[in-house]
Amino acid sequence: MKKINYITISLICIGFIFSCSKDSSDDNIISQVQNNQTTTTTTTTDTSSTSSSSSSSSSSSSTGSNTTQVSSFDRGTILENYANNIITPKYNDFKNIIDELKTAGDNFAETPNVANYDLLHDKWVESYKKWQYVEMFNIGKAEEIMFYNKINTYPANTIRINNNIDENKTDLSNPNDWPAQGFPGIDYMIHGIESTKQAIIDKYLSEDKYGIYLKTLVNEISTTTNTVVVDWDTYKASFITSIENTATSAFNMLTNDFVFYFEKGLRTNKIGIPAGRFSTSPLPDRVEAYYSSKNSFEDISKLLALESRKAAEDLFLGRAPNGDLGASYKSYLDYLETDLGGILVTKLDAAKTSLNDLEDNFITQINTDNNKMLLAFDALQTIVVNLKTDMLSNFNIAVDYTDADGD
Amino acid sequence: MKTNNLIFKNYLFLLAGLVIISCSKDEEVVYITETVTETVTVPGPTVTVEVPGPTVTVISSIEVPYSYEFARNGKSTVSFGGQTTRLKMADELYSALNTNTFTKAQLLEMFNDGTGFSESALNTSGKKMGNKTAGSQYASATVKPLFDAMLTDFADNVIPNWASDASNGQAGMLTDATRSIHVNEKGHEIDQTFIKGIIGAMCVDQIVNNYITPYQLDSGTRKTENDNGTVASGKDYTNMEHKWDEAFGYLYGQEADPTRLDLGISPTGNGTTLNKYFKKINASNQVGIGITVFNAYRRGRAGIVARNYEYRDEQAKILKIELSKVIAYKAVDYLNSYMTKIAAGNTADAFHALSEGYGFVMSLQFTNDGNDNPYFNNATVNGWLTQMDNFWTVSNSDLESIVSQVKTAFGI
Repeated sequence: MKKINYITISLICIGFIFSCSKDSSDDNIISQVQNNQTTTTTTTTDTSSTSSSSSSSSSSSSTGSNTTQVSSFDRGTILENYANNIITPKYNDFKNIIDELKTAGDNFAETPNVANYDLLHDKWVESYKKWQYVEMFNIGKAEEIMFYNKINTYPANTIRINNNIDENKTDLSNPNDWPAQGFPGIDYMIHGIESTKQAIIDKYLSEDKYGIYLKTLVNEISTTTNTVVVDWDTYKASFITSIENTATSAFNMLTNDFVFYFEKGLRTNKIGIPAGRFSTSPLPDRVEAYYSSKNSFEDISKLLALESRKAAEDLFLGRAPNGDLGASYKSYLDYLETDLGGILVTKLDAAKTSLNDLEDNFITQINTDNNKMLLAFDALQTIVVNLKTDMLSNFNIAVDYTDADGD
Repeated sequence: MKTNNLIFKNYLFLLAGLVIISCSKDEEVVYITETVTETVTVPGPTVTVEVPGPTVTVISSIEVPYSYEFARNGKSTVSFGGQTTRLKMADELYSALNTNTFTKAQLLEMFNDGTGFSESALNTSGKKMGNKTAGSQYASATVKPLFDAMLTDFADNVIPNWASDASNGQAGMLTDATRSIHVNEKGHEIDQTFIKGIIGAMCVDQIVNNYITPYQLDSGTRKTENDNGTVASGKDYTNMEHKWDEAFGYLYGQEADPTRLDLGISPTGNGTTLNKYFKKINASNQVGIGITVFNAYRRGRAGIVARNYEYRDEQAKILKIELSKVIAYKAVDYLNSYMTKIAAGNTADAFHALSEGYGFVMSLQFTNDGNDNPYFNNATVNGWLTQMDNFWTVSNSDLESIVSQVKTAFGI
């Protein structure tokens, strides 16, 4: 037994020395070797044909402390907690509300009136909120069928949607149709094809094609959600045990998904792009749930951003719907004796304050005081740096996506 | 127990051997005319176990050419054309801010779209200053719009009052015995606030907070590619090598011959941005900073070639601290210079200096103390800029306080 340990540790050493330590694992336990320092002598050879004056060779030395500590953390406990207490309940919540959204959509399409309209609007808001807790799980079937692209690609492509309406199109499998469906697509269908509730209802009353496309959208969202949630039931078991440190393990992929979601889904899409962080000037028409705000139905862009932030915080802390805390990235960081976990908790809280400081209507916020949007971006960006650079390196996980640098 | 320990020792010695072999086998640097050996001891990545084990020494060799020249298969791997392009754009935009002949649209086009320059090669480069201004991972997103606002202010207020007499609340021309300048209603000479701000927000920020950080160098699969010598598509360099070169380019991109051996001793100061002031600091405030910085650049780059990333990061740390000091020295110098000149009654000359100081103070938030923290953060800098906002009413005691805090933080 002891001997096996030594071999395992030695294998880990190889990983460390070659600086590509991505594969150090055994069957169930990932060993983390910490705080070890030994002295390496690096011989630096300067080559020159002239000027010894420019070779002011510095000589410095640093002695390692030789402190020794071997520790193990079972990453499986994190996946188990995430699967049972976060992903499963959030998937089920989402599926239930999507069932209601589908019914409300079908009813309004069949019988366009104010009562049915209001119900559909409410279900759209409720389900859009619950979606924020699901979008980050780009795993298993969700990844395979491009779940998040189909459900929440915005801004909506209204030219495409209008063409689809005219053609009574029902097959939305082409990726070009991503911005013509999902929540942004429904947003346009119930808040954007006209600017008032009555004018919208009148459109559905006057021509069937609107109802047909609306039914297609709620049906599509329902079918894909069902596929993902049903598959999760069978995928879950292998998900929990996939903890090895490889690019394709569930642990590494989920962790990357989480960081990616925080950076792109939350920081970039909800705040950065509309605030003009990546363009010459602000782009208020890129906010999430744009038509609902634009035509004064309900200002939910900020609400969705807050839910998204909370979803990220829940996962980071391993917080179940009842508030119980379980094994998580946070507890893993604490175990590794880094103060990063505490720093992130503080910054996540500061991000909440910063988002709360914004107006409910992001379009108004951008047009009147965009600096506040940029400050909210800063509050999220500082977390991205900690997650992407510091947390991933503490977990010894490689980032599986690269930013285009533009050079 | 004893046996196990012995087995373990053998493993480590075996490992040390492997490292030596793999390192010496992969040297690909040419341009070697003479070999000098310098020994640097660095903390290593070697690991010990729960039973106190032996201290292991891993020897790796890094060939550092004296000039910034690196090659693979006989072809140079050094490339930083994009940086040279942006520095030239900054020069042209600076010139434009010294005339009254450009429209707001033209100024913003140059800054954000990277077109509208007199040198046609710049217009087709695809490069832009705007998206590299306060663009690093640590930069506040609130800063970039301030640069747009300066250009707008210049076009909307300074140009229409080109020949008016400037006073508190009135944009116009301001003249004293030494010079004549064009200012906005707060006394800001915008060509100066803009270009000195760009030195921090673009040049220094891109170097110290972006290109030489692991966030950029090790992004995605860059480390693995560099370990394997996998070059970027259609290029002779690995992506990691290129990122380091881009950091080199933001300082040396306008040197006529960036491969010369004495680049460290005598930077030319070409251009209107970082190199210009780097040269001045090297000649006065901190003689020898040129060599320190140049050595760190070539050693860090050699570290990448040798796949020694700890060594690389040590050199990066030197660059972060030293290049940050350029900003600090100039912020202090120009605020002091303002106080001397205003006391001598030369208002235009004093406002000119304070405009430069304002830009350098703005730049302070893009410094890096070597541990990826700015010496002064966005909020602190904004507080100072507010104190400095109206040049007609700024108080010397506020400026003295800023000077004192900067000197203390940087130890200068």
